[in-house]
Amino acid sequence: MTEPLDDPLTIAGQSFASRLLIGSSSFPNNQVMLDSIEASEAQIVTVAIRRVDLSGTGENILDLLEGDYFILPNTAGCYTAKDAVLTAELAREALETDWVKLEVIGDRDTLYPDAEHLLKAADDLVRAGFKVMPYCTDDPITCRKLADLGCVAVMPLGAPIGSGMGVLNPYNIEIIRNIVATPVIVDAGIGTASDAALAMELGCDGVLLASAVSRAHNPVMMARAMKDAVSAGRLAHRAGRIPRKRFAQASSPESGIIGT
Amino acid sequence: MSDTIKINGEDRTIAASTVIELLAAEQVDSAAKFVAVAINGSVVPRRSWPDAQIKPGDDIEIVSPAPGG
Repeated sequence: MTEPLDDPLTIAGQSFASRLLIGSSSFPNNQVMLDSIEASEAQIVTVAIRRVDLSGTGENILDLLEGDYFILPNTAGCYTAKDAVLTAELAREALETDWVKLEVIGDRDTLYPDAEHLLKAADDLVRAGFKVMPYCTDDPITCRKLADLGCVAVMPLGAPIGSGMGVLNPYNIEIIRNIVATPVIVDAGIGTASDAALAMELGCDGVLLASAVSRAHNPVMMARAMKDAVSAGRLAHRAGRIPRKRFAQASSPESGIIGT
Repeated sequence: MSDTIKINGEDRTIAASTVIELLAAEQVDSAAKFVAVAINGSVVPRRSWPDAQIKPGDDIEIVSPAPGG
């Protein structure tokens, strides 16, 4: 009855051995970034698209990552569907990929997705042949609409970006997992290993995180912790947890006890 | 009409007639991988850089990948 332990994440027909996706931002330096990504054993690494520095072209992050990872460009920083679509098109040109992590932000304080613009941009990009992985609220209806539009995964937030607050609404995440056929990847809000494990125990297909590792006191060690947490959470989900009960249930035999 | 263009949000006096000349003028290595260009909201494919014309008033974006989450 042994089920195989390896359990790849499949998105749009492409298999990934790791269910942990990692961002490349906010590390203390490039070497710590590279060491952390390696320790995480993530295959999918996100990058942003930014204006080149016209005062002098420095080293590009792709010079460090190219060839070793599946690079997923994002549209971080975009506030409108129009800007997000153009950013995705620029990413496709720069990176020769039609995959995109779609972000359309509503305001600077919450960095919450703007559902109206997100749905519009997702529709436009899917029609243009992109494989769209939208960062979205943990709202089951928005997630279902995004999946229905043809997104290859949905990526509800656990909590606001960079907040480290964990999975604030596990009930919604479970509902989303149950009503959407695409992979569900919790994106944003992860603070520590138990948050990532919980997301996976809820049945999510993957976890995308950045700050939890890059801003940790020891990013390389936290990367390893996240790798183990995602793996453990996934195994626990597949293994099937015992139900919660209000009263105790003895684990040792209740017969043959002396004095009875 | 003004003879200025906008490059990455900055006003510049026009000093090139094609995208490839513009990249050279801005000291962006046009042979470098991972660079993309848009004019007035439309991506200009790399193969079109030698021919794509720059006109006064154009709004040009030159981008590349950067660290991101």
